[in-house]
Amino acid sequence: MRRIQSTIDILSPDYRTYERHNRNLAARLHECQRKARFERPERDVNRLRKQNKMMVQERIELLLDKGTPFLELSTLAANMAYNGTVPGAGLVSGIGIVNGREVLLMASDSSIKGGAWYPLTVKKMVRTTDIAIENRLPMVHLVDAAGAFLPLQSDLFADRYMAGRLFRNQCVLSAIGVKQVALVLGHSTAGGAYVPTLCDYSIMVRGAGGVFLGGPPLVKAATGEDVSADELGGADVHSTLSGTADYAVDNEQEGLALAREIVGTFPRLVKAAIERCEPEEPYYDTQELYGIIPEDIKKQFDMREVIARIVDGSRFHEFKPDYGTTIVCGYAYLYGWKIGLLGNNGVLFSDSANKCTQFMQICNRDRVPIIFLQNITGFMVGKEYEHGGITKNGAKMLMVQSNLDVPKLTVMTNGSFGAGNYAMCGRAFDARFLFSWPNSQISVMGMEQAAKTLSQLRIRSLERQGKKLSDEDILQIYEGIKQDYLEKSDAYHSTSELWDDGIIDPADTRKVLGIALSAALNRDFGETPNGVLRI
Amino acid sequence: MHRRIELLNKFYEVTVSGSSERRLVRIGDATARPAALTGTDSAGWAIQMGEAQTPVRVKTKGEMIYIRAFGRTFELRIVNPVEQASQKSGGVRNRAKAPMPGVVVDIHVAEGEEIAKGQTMMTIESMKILTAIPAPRHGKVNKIHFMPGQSFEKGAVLVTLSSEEE
Repeated sequence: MRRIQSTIDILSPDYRTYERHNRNLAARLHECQRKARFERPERDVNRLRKQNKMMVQERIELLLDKGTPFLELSTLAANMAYNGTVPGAGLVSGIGIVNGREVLLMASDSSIKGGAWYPLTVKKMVRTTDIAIENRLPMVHLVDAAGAFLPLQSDLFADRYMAGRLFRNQCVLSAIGVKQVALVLGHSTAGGAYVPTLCDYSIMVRGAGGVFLGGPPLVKAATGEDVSADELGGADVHSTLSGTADYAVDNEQEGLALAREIVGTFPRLVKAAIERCEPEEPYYDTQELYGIIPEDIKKQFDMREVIARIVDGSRFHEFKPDYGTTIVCGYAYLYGWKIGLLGNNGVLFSDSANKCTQFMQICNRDRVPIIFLQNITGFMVGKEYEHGGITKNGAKMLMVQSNLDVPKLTVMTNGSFGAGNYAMCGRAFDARFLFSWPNSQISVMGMEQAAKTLSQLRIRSLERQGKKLSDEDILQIYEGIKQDYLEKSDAYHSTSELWDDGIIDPADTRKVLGIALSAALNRDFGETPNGVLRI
Repeated sequence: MHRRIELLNKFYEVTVSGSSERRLVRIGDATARPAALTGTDSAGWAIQMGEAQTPVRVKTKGEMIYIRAFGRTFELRIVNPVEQASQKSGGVRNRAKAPMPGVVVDIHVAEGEEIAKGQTMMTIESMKILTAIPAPRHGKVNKIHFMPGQSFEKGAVLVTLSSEEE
């Protein structure tokens, strides 16, 4: 494979402007992540200390192998919901190494509202267990949650992908042989009691840990029975009498050490056999990505420059380089694994869409996982293009992309608008993992166009009601709509709503994709022998 | 293993064959000669070719390989066969065409100006995206076909470069 020849001039004024802009965005991201992980009201920290409980970050540190990478997912979930009072949606999830084995960790954060489940907490738990199912990742649950946040119970309880789905997913995991360990560090009441109980191995901490369908106050109210939490469903009761749990430990440290020992008994994961070579660092510095992404979402950049700062040796074999040039398709290696890449270099035309379809068919036949690098305003519009079958060709791309057997990973590098979001494997298309850069935006159409349409509608409706509008009123309406639209298109909104698996620092893209691809290869994929159509 | 290398401004075809016990190196059409490369304890290597033996140190940076041997440093480049061949075929382009229909927003070069490959010649706007039109090669701008504000169809020639013979 040939090395990409970068044409970026790191001394140019543009490069410096972009670099300053993107470094600021990355700094803001790291600050938001730090706050979400560590900033807690003193009152809550003191409460945990009094209960002899560790903070969730301290627990995770003891659980994971020292010095190994941990890819935290959806760190900023719920950052724009509930007035920002539930950082990370009150839950930490991520991929890490325990006793030399890749595991998916899901840990309640009891420093936030006692670890209560908000609707977005439930969404994050369902997504986490979906990740375990899709990628066959063994799970470690650190259970310390008060239960459902009652004022919002109707938004988190009964729907298909709400609380029940978590337990359903745990049952599915068991049936497909994905192992689960739970460590109960607090009271797990009602539905929450099923989380450890549905695991293969359940450890309870004496004193702090409790598992019961109804807690002592509820029992008292229902039957008049007076019983302490420990007598009702403490560690010793469940590990010696009921068999609901398997181990009782004296403290959190012992519990975490025992969880590590249990994970150590798991067979090591076998990776799907795909083409491999010796890994190599990129030739171009990954930090240069900061200087490549323009400060204005309207400005185009060459996706090859991005690819050159992600893949091994910056080497890339480009497929059909002179055809459908608004998309870049080709092969590269990522940490020695062969991958196919699709990256936007402009609007999708019929020829570019067909190129993608053909390339994806080849990747699928040849067992090459695909990475989508999204920067897409959509498909070309206009008579000439409709007559040329742009809608039909977009549909072909969706058809093949949706039905791929090989794992898919998606990165939102800049814009993701309209049907382009779908064609390039947006959230609805089951990418195994989807990450966003802090500058990225997602919406059904571009901001200016949407704001104009929306304000036209608002103005007309006001005029129908007989209101006289000055130019200033109209401008105000437009600006208001624009602001709202921009906020809802922002990466921080996307990640708050779990439309992705987290915002990442662009300079970390290679590492993040490496961990994600490694996880994705835990599940072998079928082969659909088929001739490739040169459409 | 077969490589085309550049050493001291000359190109060589090098073929390495044989087993790990007995390697054969063939340069160009010459007869293959036995050679051995062994690791030494000081993170370096020792090379033996026929009777001659010398310690070597190797440092690679991209396609460039720096070799310290026989008391001097050699700069060696591995030549990519596809690039080598495409230079021979002289597939250079004189025209920058519109990748999609749109409007010219800005022009960054003047007719007659010397430009470098990849340098932005024009900015166009299409489908709400600003796209830079780069120079396809080093050369001189011959003609700019559209002015700011003018619109064009897909495939329209935006800028022509002077042909290289001129």
